[in-house]
Amino acid sequence: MSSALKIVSRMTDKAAVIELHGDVDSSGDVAVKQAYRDAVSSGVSTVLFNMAKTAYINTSGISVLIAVVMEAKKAGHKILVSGVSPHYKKVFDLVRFSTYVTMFDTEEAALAAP
Amino acid sequence: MANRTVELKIPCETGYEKVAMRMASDLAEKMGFSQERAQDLEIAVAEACINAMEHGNQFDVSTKIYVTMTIHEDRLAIDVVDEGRSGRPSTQVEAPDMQAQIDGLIPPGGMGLFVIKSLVDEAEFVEPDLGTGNQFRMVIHLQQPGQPGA
Repeated sequence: MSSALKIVSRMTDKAAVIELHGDVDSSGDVAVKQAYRDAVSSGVSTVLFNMAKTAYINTSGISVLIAVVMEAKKAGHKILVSGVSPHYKKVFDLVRFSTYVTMFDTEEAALAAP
Repeated sequence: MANRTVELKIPCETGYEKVAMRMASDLAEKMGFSQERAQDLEIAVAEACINAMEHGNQFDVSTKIYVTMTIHEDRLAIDVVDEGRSGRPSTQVEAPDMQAQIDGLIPPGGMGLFVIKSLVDEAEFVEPDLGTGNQFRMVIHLQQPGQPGA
């Protein structure tokens, strides 16, 4: 009964942006990883996950993101995350996931950062 | 005043934990807990339900997860009960080794119980009321010792 995850991907001058709409849990594993792979196949080295429209994420969903970060690290790609609610940022901080990605309040802030 | 209970039976399918988590946070706010505490509980209940689905019921869709919320004068207790298809998971928990997960040395995951214990005042397995299954209890207190209210 997950609100199906909808992924919207687009390119900007600075990074590939992957918007995660709806619920991020284990059911999104394949789709999220594929979105990342598709994004970097174009040659970009920075990927921003915009979670402003992420309604719900649990630790299974965080595990999906960890797997992406793991892949990105091996390939020398950078993962940014924006739009995480304070509610879920608390969980990201608890498990120390926020230590391994660069987090921003908004997509604009992420893309403006040096 | 007698305690009030709210009982919920949800399918063993991911996604349905959202019903329990929202009910728990609604009850918490109704009792006077802050929005932050209610949101903490919401996350903890979701994780507990998923643990029950995965570890207790082995994601068997023919099974159910039973969630009982008991409103006490000074606390809210949430019991999550599975049908005990596997052994009771340990409640010993360490902080997840995120570095090892990012480095691919260990598989991502295993963070649910740590998150639960970080967000609520009490979290433990208790003797199941019905004598079967695993019963996991989470409690948040309205007043915590030394702290000015919830």
